[in-house]
Amino acid sequence: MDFRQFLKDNFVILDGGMGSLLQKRGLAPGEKPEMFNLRHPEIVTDIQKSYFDAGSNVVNANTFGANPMSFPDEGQLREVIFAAIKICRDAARLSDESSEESRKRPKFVSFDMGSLGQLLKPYGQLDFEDAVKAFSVAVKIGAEAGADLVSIETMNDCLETKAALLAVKETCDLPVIVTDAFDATGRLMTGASPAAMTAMLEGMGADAIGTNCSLGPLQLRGVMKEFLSCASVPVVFKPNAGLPRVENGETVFDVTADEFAEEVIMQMKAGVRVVGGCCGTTPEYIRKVTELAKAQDLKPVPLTDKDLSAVSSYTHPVYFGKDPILIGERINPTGKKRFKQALIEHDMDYILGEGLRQAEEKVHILDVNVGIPDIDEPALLTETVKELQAVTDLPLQIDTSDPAAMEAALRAYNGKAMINSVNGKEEVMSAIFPLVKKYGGFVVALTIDERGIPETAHERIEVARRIIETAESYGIGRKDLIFDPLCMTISADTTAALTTLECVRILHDELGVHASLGISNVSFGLPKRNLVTSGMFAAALERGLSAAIMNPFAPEMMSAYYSFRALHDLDGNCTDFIGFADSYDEKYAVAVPAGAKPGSSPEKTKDADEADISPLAGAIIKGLKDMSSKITASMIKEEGRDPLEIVSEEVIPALNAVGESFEAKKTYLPQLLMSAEAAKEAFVIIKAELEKAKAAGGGGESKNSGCRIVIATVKGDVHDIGKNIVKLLLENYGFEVTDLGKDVDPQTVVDEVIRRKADICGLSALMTTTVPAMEETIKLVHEKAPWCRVMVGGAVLTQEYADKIGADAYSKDAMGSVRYAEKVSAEKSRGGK
Amino acid sequence: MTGQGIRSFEEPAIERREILRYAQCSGCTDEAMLGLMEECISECRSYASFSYRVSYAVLPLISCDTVSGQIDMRHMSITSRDLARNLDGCEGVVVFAATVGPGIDRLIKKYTKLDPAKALFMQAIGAERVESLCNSFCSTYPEKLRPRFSPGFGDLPLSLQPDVLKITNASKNLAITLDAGFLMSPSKSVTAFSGICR
Repeated sequence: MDFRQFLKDNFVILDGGMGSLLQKRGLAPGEKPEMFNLRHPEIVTDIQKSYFDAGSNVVNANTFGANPMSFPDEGQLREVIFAAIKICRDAARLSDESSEESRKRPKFVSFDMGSLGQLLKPYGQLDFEDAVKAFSVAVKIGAEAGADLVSIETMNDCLETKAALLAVKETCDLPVIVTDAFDATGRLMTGASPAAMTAMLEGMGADAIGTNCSLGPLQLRGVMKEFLSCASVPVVFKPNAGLPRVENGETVFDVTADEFAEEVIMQMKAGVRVVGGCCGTTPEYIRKVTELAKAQDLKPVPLTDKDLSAVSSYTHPVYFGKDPILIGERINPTGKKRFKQALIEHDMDYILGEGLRQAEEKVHILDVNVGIPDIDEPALLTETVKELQAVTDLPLQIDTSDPAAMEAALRAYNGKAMINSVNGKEEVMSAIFPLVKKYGGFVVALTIDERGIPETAHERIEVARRIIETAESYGIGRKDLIFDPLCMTISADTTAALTTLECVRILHDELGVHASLGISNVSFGLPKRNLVTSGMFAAALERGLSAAIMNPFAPEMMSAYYSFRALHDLDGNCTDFIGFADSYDEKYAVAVPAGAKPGSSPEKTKDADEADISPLAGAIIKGLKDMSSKITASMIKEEGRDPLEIVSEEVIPALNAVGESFEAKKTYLPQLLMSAEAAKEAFVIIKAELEKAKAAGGGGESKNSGCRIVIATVKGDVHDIGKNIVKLLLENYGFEVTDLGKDVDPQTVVDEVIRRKADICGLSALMTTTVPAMEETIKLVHEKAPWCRVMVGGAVLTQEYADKIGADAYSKDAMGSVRYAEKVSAEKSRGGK
Repeated sequence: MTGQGIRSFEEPAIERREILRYAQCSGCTDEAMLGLMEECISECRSYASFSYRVSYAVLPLISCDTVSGQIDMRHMSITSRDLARNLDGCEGVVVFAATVGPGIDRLIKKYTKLDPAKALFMQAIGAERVESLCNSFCSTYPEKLRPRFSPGFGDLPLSLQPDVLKITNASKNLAITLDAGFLMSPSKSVTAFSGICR
């Protein structure tokens, strides 16, 4: 019998614990359980037969850790997996032969895949594609060996789960059961909720999903409730017999077989279709479950399509429905000079900053578009997606017209992405829909086709209908589509907005599908654009708009959003609106009054001995970022101060004051950092002003600007907080710093030193084990770039150690590195080395 | 005497003095700094999704030679004079791996980009949390435990980490993994040996 067919109409009984039973029969702690397939096949057969005898339909072959990470020798890996499948098959046959009752029960052998045991980036070191490759090698052998299905089990991480499922889908057509290990907080170790996992796994086509291991059945009630509320595929429940603990030198579990069975039966009544046990459970536990189910004549609860339109990140889903979804539009180079430059210069910090600032404005999703001419868009888009997901848990909308870039980014994306976009063109649908089917996704569909943008609402809706039909032919339901009927500017055609609004109404009321708009277009070419854009937003929301791609920094837009929610009973007690209104004045007020004098700002210190400090210096010393930026702007614009004079007379003295206070141990490290950040804000304004002046033919440079520094944490070391602090301070003092990051190869350091003709190379190491790599880097720099001085620092280093490994200088802290760099810079400007 | 187990803990009490120490702010009384620390603590509580878990094994101490440093724990043999001195006279050893999970790593990474002072406090809070977790775990032992001793201390090499994770089953139970330099992810994790005395 086919497993998928069996799953459709029946409860599926899985097996129970394996590791704990093998330990009782001689497996030593730390020994690989899979080796028993070769050394003691009779023991494994015996245990698995007893599960089939107890009522299991599916028994996992003993392959949990059988992957290339644990078995680097592929020959041995094959041997282990082939033996495992044969043993399990034998166990099924022996059980069939042992009783009439067993023979009637359909039996399946599952290829079991656990975690690779290495955490994926960004938390760990393992690359996503390497994980996919490793799982593919294993599952290919498992399929060849004749498994009936694949079980992906005990995953702690959303992205590794995705890698495993993708490997199965790319390697074979076997059915897949996917279960993750949720902890007491109801989340995976890396943060995913059951609803987030459901969105991703259903999108990718898992046959059954749920949880195994980690806790006893009682503690997992909340997790099961969440799965049952959002999953449309069969839900799996495979808990431990409680938690293991050591008692009188023996491992014991605290849930008995009877207690276990009662709890499992309760879940089956609630809708769970696939059940079994994990650590600590034995054939006895499985027998109790099957007996109790039989005694009560349980029938599976029919599956229902939950009809949820969802995207997800690696922590949570976002659902589309009545409550409007805000999609931040700022990660996009269109019409943004600074952003384009950041893309060309590969300034990832700037791009991430745009994302994080929008996240602070409480958008639900970030649109990500990095398309400019002459860049490797697949590579850059993928990198941006990965980097953004390392710092924010918001779901992303991947925005590109290049199908290759779309596929690369969708592979790397951790969760179920929003896809921007498909349209009515045959060519585009045939490129994009297969990607949606493979990786999962919630797709924006533009109502355009080969003829361009249809003029009337009626024609646009026709395109939408065609897209729905085509999507269905790929197995993509309308719940995974959201239509963008296109917002054109009213400055060119004053009926444009009416057409768009009518489309939104029809999509919502008549087709029953979601609609989204790139709202800002409506005001293109008009003054004070946000005034009319927000009007359009409100009007579209009234007609049933589910989402908008918009600018969350525009107060008018946020005001339309919060008002709509309050007016439509989507904001209980108007709490969110009140929060928005309360912060409105402070947030959107313009800069501090021109010519703010000491004592005039509320943040200004009242200490008598600081009375002479200027407002800017005061803001820097206190570490007030916004204040520093506002005062600098007002000094330039209102007072007409020379930007370079502000640097030399205000910023540097303030930094020096903080630096000296830090050296005297009166100021603490976080305060030093806050001051540096505040100074950085002032520099952003000053730099922009200098660029303007430069463009106009004037302007100058600050005194350290000719001094170039390349810094890195050395090969093998991943600690970078110290290095980041040094970078920040050096930049404050006007040095031109190139940061190569952490775990940097000596050759990479040297290449950059030569390319930049750097005056100083700064190296950081935290661990004794990486000091040899530092020594090697120093040697190479001295050999290939003899002009460059090497300065070192880090927790394990001392002056003595630094001398020993041939460094030119040792800095005990970040201020020390500034002092040394100033010395080098001064020598340089005097013409010496 | 052999067995493996997992334990989950409620949030251990927060040791603010320790956080200040890890943030290089020992003795700091500046209100703004203390306020920033509190802000970071409450943000960690909301977003780091700390889970306090320990995966452990109890092993017999078959022999322990403080001169040669040979330690035999039946399922694990180690040569380390420093650890041998630490375990001398004990009858068993608790080997454990503790972690507060990777959520804090994401916060650290985020604030490294946004606000380095907060990144520093996040680091400090993570360090304090995992140390407090180790304290909670060790204090639950009915027997007296010796001070914990971790790979990387003295002559006990970091390269022992793979064996420690295997014997404690921490890769499966806690998803702790190692990089090429034997550093753990999540970064706020601790492995240690602790002798059991009567």
